[in-house]
Amino acid sequence: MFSDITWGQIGQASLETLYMVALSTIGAVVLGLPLGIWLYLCGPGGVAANRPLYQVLSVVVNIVRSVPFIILLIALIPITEWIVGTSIGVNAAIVPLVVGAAPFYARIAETSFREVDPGVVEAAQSMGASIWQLIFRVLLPEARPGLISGATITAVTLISYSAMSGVIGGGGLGDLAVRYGYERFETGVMLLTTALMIVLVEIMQWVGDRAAYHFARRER
Amino acid sequence: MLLIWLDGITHVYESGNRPVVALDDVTLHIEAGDIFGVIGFSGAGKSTLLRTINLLEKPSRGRVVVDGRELTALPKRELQEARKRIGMIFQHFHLLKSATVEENVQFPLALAKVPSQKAKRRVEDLLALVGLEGYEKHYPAQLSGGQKQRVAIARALANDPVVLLCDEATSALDPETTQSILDLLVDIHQKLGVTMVVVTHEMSVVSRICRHVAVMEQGKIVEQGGVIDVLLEPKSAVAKRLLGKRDGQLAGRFPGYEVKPDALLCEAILLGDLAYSPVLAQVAATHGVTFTILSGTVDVLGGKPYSHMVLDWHGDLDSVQAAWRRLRDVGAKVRPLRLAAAGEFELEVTG
Ligand SMILES: Nc1ncnc2c1ncn2[C@@H]1O[C@H](COP(=O)(O)OP(=O)(O)OP(=O)(O)O)[C@@H](O)[C@H]1O
Ligand SMILES: [Mg+2]
Repeated sequence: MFSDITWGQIGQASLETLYMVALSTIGAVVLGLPLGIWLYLCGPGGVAANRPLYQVLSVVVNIVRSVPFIILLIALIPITEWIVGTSIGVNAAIVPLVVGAAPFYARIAETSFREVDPGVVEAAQSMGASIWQLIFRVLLPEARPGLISGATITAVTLISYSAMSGVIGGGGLGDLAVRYGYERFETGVMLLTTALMIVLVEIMQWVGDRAAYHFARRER
Repeated sequence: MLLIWLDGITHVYESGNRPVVALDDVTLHIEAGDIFGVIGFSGAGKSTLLRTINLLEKPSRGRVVVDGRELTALPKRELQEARKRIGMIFQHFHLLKSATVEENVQFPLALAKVPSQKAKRRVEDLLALVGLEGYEKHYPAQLSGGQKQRVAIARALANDPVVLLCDEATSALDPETTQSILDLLVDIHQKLGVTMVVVTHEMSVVSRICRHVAVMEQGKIVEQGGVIDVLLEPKSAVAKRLLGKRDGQLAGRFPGYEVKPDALLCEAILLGDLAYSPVLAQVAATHGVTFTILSGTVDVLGGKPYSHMVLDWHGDLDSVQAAWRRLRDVGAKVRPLRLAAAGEFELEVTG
């Protein structure tokens, strides 16, 4: 059933997927969180409400989000080459994964901040909080459960995105599933790799839910 | 000493399709050490007025001076500094739900970069002041409304404010908890001497803790003065209506009691020591008359006890009027009531 594929390859692919998803999730959060804060602050009713700026940011985010990932993957090749030094391989795949997921995470973060009680934000302002104090001492802690669930959703989404990175030799489980399972009709490989990805999703979801629950529990 | 000076404040909300004038050329002086009430019906502009004091709302026109500093002229950084000395509490508490009681109270100290050892001691003192020792590690979700408001009060006092702004601080609480929070505010006022501005739509809050009061309607202050004067002799229609809400029974009928057309009804108000004295019974006995109490309240007004009653007097006209004169002589306010056409009672305007 597994003609020219070894368990070693499957193990390797699993690690590649984990590596890609972990790094690109971190990248998406690192870029998306400040963007989300920015969207929130200059958005409607925000502390630094600025309609034109918000609309520009919003349109950019929406454009990136609406481009199909496979197109983003190819369109970003020059930038990837510039950042990573190569346009193929696991590391090269991380760049488009981050670019694709950061605006997604930014929107989730923006929504989480909007769910912070505006009264609390106002109370902090009445106490003389600066904008940085507001971000670090109010918004981030108060929105923490939502931000963590958002990171989980992003990571899970990235697992399926990462499957497409095979196009640029990104590797990983999804790539294996497509190359062997789909293109060579090796149903066994396809089933096994898909099952592994499902397990991966389940584990991430579980870990993320536990973390979000940990912070949200005492707040209810 | 003048602590708060609002000078010609106009505030227009532009949001929505037509502008709302929430404050219309309001000028207000509040003395240091006062407990100043702002009362009015919903939408009168009370919250906007309060939020103008710490510039949470920037007025469209006018100046705000607090503690000798013109806040409306300060750049952002300095305004943030000035706000640290203006505490504020809210109807819905607005505590950080992700932080413990201790962390919530420490929050303004952290904003002001107070060293953590000093802040810790301050938090302990504050929690003792509001009666929440032992709740340090609790989260707001684990507290009752009254306890949350205590945390909010401790938080508002953390940076030794010169003024405490209270926006409907007891409106989300039951009557008993309301009383305990009002007691706490009075206690804090006595201990710390902090000036308080109390926004409310409940006359009872004003009568229980305030020294001075401003009555608002449609973005204007229509009446202001000492609480005793305004509450006992309201001049504006709004103040009368707000009082009517409290003494609803006064204007209404007395169920099951037949008031004769020639009944000698009066409203009697006893203030201060008089409220707790047997003066009514004594005077009635001296003049050989009796009375029925149709309604009555005993409460605290501007820090003094007072009682407010509607009485139906029995006896001949001369004796009853002599009794009323005697009561006025000892300091009671006695105002005759007459039966209006619809069978309702009205205050008769007398000299
Ligand atoms: N953010 C806002 N945008 C537009 N209009 C507002 C805003 N806040 C208040 N208003 C309007 O301004 C007027 C005064 O409101 P304000 O909240 O000061 O009244 P209030 O006396 O505090 O009433 P309440 O007792 O209901 O709290 C109202 O007509 C209200 O609709
Ligand atoms: Mg209000």
